[in-house]
Amino acid sequence: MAAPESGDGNNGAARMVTLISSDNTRFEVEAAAASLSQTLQLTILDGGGGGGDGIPLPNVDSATLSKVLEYCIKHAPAAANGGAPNATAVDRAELERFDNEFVNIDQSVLYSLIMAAHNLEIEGLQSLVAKKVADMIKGKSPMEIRRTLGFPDPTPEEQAEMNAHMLEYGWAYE
Amino acid sequence: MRTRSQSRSLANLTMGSSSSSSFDAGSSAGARSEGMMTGAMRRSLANLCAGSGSSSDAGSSAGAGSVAIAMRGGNQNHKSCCAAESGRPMKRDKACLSGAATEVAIESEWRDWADLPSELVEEIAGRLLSADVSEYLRLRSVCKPWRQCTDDPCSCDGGLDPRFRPRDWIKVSHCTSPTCRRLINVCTGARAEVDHPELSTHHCFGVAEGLLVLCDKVTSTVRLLNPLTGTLTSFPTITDVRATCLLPSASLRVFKAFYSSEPRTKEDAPIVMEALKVDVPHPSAINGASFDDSTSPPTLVLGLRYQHFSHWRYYVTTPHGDVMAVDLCPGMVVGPRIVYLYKEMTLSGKTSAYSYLVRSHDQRMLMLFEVDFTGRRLIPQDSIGGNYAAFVGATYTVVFAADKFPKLAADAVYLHYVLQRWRRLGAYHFKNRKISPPRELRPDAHGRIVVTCYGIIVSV
Repeated sequence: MAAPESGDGNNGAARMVTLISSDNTRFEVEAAAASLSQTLQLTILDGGGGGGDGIPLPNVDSATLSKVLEYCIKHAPAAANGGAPNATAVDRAELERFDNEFVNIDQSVLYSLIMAAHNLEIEGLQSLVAKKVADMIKGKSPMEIRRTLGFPDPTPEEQAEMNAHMLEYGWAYE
Repeated sequence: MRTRSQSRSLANLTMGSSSSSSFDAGSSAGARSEGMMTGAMRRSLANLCAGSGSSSDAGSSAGAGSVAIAMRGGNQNHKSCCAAESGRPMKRDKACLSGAATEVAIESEWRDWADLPSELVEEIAGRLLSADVSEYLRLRSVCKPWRQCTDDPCSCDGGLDPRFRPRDWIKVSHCTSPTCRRLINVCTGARAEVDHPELSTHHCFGVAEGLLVLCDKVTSTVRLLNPLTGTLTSFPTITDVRATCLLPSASLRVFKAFYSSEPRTKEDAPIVMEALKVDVPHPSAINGASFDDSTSPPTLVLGLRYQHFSHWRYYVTTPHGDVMAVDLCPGMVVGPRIVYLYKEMTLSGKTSAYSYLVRSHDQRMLMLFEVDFTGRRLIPQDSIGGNYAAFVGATYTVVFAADKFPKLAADAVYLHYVLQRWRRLGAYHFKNRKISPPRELRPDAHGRIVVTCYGIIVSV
């Protein structure tokens, strides 16, 4: 085992759990970080994920999972403190900076992230990505939104439907 | 360019995030050894699998076999995260982890955003809606699945759902066609052209929370038009309010308020009367419209022109600088009344002043601008915020974000037509406390001088 075992049980040691991505990559992470996921928390509380077995996550690939865990590890200390009480302004600013940089990524990664956050029930991550997507959409026409998020070109029927929808509102668009 | 179906299958192969193939992997790994699972585990795994959107009937025992109930002492030094190909955990430190995340850069490809689970679309849509209705409408136009999992503004609450009120939009009065209007968002500078046939068959009384208050030219039926969504809601005719049932989503009240311009005594409270069965010969008889959301359903309040009314939740200012609110007294036997919010700064009875209520962009405060002289007990305002320009008028006031409208002077109050036309007062600039165009301030025939803008902030 790569991690040194502490002789006297788990006294004071951070408990680790292993997560297995859809492509069979194993991630070892502190239980506190993994517990940001409501879904995993239940399993971990029941004692799952320890030792050599690990918790399989068939919906999350390794690239996405490593990104998700990056978020969880960063946010775990603040979550353990119950959010605010002893968090300093500096800590909060640092988390905010991290969050802003964290979601500064391609739309396809955002998609994987929000799906993973949704499946794993990581509330903070889900709303962070949702906010980012909303910001990307803001001020754009339906066609521009499609391009930004990498939708395929609309079929003629879809195009007609989009136009009809805006006309329904009385918008004489562009 | 890939076709849609090709891209979709590619996405499934590489990600398995929204497809049934991921479930296959999960459930085949699960050996259906339910005996090993605790209730919570089963529940959590079911959540994990069911969450992926395209199949809701994921096996609740998926993946159960590989979860072991085991505890072991972990590394207490720092958070670590291990990834290894062989399945044997290999330790990596935090720096490596973030490195790994960028190393495994995912190729940019189409993800099926159209198939996003409805809760996620709703969350994104909710954020856009709190920014502005128009953003929400554009999101709904993107694709059919998104439209299906978001509320249609036209059918919610009879079209009067407060969430869809276009609060920050104003309409520009004059347009080439009688049915077209240009709309401007005072916060973002966004513009939109709309075409609504109703505009040519109705008078427009004014604006309440962004909704146009219309009166049918023939029948006098009061209607509300949401200029962004095209939703039209009909109220009873204005002459027949008492006789008609209320709408399930809102009611209508017409008010007339009186207050004495004589020096007031304690008992001399202003009177408000519900002016039902009034004839409204001309739209200009209505001077201010607002929603009162303290009642359920909300009440549309129309004020008949009498002295000076300002609106928004039906607040009223007097020429003396008082601020009053119409209290509808919902559920009480006593009828509606006017209550004083601010009386402290009242000018002497001989002073005549102009007072306006202006809603600031943070939706929380209300400011009163006095354009008048001595103003003994009014508190001078230093600024309305460096980024704002206010327009004040007899029936409507609005604040613009000056950085979105470069031609406007920032931190300034543009005075209304009568003052501009007859008293040659254009805009008041806070930065130098001057009125433009520059003019010498002398008492006019009535002994009045315009010196500065005074204001109070009213907490509501």
